[in-house]
Amino acid sequence: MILRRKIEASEFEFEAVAVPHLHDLYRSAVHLVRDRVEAQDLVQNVYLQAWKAFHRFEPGTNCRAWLFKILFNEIRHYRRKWFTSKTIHEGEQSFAETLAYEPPIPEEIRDEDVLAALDEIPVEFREVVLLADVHEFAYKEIAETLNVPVGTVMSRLSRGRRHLRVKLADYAKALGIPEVKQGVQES
Amino acid sequence: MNVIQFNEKACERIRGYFDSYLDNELLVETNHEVLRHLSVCPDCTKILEARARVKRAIKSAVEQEKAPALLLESIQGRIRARRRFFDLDLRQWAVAGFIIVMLVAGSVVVSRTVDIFAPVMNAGRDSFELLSAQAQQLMRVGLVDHIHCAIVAGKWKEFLSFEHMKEETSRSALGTEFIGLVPLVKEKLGSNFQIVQGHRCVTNHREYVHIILTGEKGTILSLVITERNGKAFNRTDIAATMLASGVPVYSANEGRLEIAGFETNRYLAYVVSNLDRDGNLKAASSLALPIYDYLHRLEV
Repeated sequence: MILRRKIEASEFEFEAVAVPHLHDLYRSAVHLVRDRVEAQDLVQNVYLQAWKAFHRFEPGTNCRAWLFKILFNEIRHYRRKWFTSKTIHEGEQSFAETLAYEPPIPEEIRDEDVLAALDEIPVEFREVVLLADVHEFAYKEIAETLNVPVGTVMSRLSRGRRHLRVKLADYAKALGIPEVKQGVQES
Repeated sequence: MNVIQFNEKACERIRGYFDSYLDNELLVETNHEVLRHLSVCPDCTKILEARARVKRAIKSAVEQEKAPALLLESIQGRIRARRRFFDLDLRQWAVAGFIIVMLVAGSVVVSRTVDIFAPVMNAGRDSFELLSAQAQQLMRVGLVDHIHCAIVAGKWKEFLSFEHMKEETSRSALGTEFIGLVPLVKEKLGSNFQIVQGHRCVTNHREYVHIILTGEKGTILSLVITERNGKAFNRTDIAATMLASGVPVYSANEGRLEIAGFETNRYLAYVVSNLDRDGNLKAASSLALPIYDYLHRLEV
């Protein structure tokens, strides 16, 4: 009976510290697997894993970072199962990245354009952009979550954001949204 | 020519810091260097502004998406299913243990063993695990609405003016019955807390009147009122922690959340917050009598 109460008490505590991050985890999962049903399954698995390991979670430490680490482990497992995903080699540079110009960004950026651009960039870049821009994790936390060096986080973030800017500029151009003049050094 | 080349190089170098600058990851010195450059370079300033705009746009666009309500229910259901499975194991272990004890130690030891399984009475202790299942369930009635409505659904961030709450006519409106709680709560807690909003909501099939307040250092406090539907503090084995001007106040904590509850003939009222125990009890005790009187007037 006492043990059962302990389990129930930790169940309440688990709900109090872990459930508030549900939306954040789900949002990331949706953009990482680009499928809402799969994202729900993944997030559900994350919470079950977290609940099983909750006795190892130290109160006062960063629960959100802990849950994201579990999420990325689940996602890696999911990708291994379903895809032979094309990984980006760090040295490989696309044409857009080598351009020495700064893509012109419209004043008003539409949500649907940002989401479309985000879903089109390579997943290695997308994950760091999500962790830094949406969830505002520090580089060190992102490095720990993804199990890569901080330098890799920085280079992926820089390249991911550049990909996004190029795509947003392309959309704006296609829609005829006036460009904001910027970034051209006058000599 | 040389001067222009130097400027271009300076701009290129500074732009290389822009990502870390936006993420607040630069060392203080480098941060100053970027700021000094921006103060004299409008081109780089425009580029930085555009990049900041994209960063904000990504966050705002992605945050439009919310997890479906069914996902939370499904997670809670699966966690509870695991617990039920565990309970079964526990009972089997208890039976096995009981038989062994019977065989080995005889009836005297057995009678002591039964004591272990007797309900654990709460003698003024404040941990949830020491409360009986009935008392836990009763304190949870107030806790769930705070967690699911104020915190998970993010209502603590949605400020509504008193006029808005007064004029609201939807099902979530406080209505003429409960709108008077808002100035009452403001009078009692207004010096330390700001009222974010008051509404009616339904959590776990139970209707609540819910007033959310925020205070310093990230405090989120809920006043949660719900009809008793046959439940009562004074029939559980939970001891009242204090008397607030004659109203018994019951308290428990769960993780970092403190719950204080009191009751009238028809309602159960809870103050739930991330304050420490004394802070939460202080808030509850200042509300207990005026809320009791207010609800009592509604009843008669």
